[in-house]
Amino acid sequence: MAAILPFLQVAGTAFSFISKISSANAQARQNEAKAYEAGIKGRTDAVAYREEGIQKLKEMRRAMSANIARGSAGGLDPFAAGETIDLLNLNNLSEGGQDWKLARNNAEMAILMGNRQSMIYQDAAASNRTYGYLGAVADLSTSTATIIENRYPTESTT
Amino acid sequence: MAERNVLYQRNPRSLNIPTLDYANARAIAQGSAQLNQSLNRLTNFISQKNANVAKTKGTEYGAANAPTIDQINDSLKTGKELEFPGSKTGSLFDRAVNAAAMEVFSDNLETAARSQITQKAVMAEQNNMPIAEMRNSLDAIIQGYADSFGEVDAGFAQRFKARMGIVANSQYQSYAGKYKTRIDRENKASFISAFQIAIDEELPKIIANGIDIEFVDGQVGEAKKRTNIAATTEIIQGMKADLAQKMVKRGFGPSEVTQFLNVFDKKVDDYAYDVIESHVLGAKNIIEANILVENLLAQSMPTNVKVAFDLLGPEKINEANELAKNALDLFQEQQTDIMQLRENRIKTNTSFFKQEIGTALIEMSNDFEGGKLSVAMVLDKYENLIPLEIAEFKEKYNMTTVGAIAMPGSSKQDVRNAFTQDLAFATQRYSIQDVMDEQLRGNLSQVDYESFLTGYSIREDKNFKKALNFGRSMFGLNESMIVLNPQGDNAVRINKMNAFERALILERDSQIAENNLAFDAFEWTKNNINRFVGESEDEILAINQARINNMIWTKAQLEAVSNDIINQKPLEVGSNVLSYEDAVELLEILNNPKIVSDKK
Repeated sequence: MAAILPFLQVAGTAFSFISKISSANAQARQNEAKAYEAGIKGRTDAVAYREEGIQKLKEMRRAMSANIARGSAGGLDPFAAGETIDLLNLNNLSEGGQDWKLARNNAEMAILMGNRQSMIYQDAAASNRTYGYLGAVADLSTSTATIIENRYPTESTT
Repeated sequence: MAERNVLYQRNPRSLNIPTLDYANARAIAQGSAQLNQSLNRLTNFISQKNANVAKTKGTEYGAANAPTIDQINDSLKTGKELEFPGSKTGSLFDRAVNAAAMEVFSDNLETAARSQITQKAVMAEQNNMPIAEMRNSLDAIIQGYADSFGEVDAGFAQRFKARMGIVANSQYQSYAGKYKTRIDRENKASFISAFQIAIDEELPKIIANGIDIEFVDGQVGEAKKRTNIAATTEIIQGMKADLAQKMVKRGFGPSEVTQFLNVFDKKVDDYAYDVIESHVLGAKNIIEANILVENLLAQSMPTNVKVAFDLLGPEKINEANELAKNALDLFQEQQTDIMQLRENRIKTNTSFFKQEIGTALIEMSNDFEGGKLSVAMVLDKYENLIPLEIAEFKEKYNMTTVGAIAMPGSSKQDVRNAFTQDLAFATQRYSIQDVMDEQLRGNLSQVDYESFLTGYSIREDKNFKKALNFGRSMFGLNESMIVLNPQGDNAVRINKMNAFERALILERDSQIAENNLAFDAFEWTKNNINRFVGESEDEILAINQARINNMIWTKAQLEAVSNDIINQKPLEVGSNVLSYEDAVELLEILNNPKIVSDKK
């Protein structure tokens, strides 16, 4: 039993080293996956913001059209400058334009931030590998030194 | 009613900035922390390894360079300060060096201290050192060694003192036990010696003589003329109490105390019995002894005997009375023994007297004045010891006689034959005095004279006489065979008889020379007579011829023969007086034979 103890210790050290390398790789791959997902999400969010801007433009047009129709129906010149209808629609136009810009800005922001998040995750993956490998090597060194320190002759000395 | 105008509804949403997850920073921090831990483990391992190496090397160096026992002893003698390698505040190596050196130094110091403590214990036992001195010596040893490194490491010194204190205390306890045992033993031996003196010397005197003082309220009163019985008893009881008290003080156990006190009581009883017995045995005669015993039984006795009875007590009075009766029997036996002793003493003194007076008479034959003085001294010496025998001797010695054998005209040969036949056939016609008379007349040679004197002398002894009669019967001799000139068979028988008689006398002399005074002549004759009966005539003749041819006497033989003659039979025959002067002349004539050196 005593004769196999050194071999068990060496084997344990080797398995520990491999396990730590594998763990570092797994964490890196996890962060790489997150980086990919972050890029996708940014673009998806940008599309949603664009659709939201278009929708706001449609709502603005519907409001303006309704005011023109009511003015005409009420005997007002719906296109006369400086008149009520005109003033209302100018206001509607202004409000709708702002919403559209806001949506466009959000879409751009989503793309930019998605890309940034993706890069962060990629850096994290690289760090996982770097520090995981260094730690595994350091532990391997300590374990190896301990094994050498604790070694004892397996054959009787004369 | 007019419809209201339509207003565009603003989107409530504001600018949306997504929140970032800084996973990279988190990964770096986590990885760095883990790496840091790993590197710390590695560093610690290496540091520990280096520390161990430093400690090991430091320990080796410190152990190798620690102060030795010789250096310690030298330091104690000279006061030179010891040097310790390393330091307590330096590097790990220095500290290890110092610690190892101190450890080895402590071991060395402990070894040296233990050795000295053991030596001191042995010396203490050999010299019977008092325990206080022993304690101080041990303390001094420990203190001396502790001081040697007290300044170097006070804590170390304290621990050393504590350890050595245990060792020294163990030795001290052991020695104290032995010391106490020895002191107890000496005290006991001293007491036993005093006890023996008390019971062997003091006690018998007190009991025998009594005490003539009395105690008044615990103080010694004035001496009384008569023995004070109560005071004597009180003194003895006081002695007993004093002995018991001393025994308790000297560590005797209860059983031992009881044992000694029993011995004391037994001795008191024995001495009391002795007083009673001595009282009876001190009587002048048996009548007085009887009277003393009767008085004792009637309780009438002197005061000192009353003391003895008082000490024995009423429960032992019957034994004392019985002892007195037995003492009466003992008195009678003693009287008989005394008489026997007296007789034996007279016999012994008479025997010595005969030997000494014989020597003195022979001396007188050579030196008259000197011999006369010797005779007077011998007589004076035994005058008081055996007065009757001395008076008788003087009376006999002053008697002389005339020849009963030699008739006018008788030849020397006739005289010789007459004595020879008288001795051979035991006709008892003549005596020693006749032999001496014929010698004075010049009818006998010196050799014949001595031979006949011896022959008649030994016949005074009944045992010898019986032996000779037995021998005579064995040789077939009887009075009818008397012939003046023995020839043939008779002569042979007479020669055999003479040879046997000479052998018998020689054997007796030999036995006396070996201090065997209980020589039984008759018994010897029964055992040896066949030796003489069986001799042939030629052999006997040859023996006689040889004796004649070698008729040479040593001085010692002559003296022995003369002593025998005189001792066995005093010079007496009839009523005539032989004076000292005559005796001297007689012995001068006896001195005729050729005397040679004893060396021959």
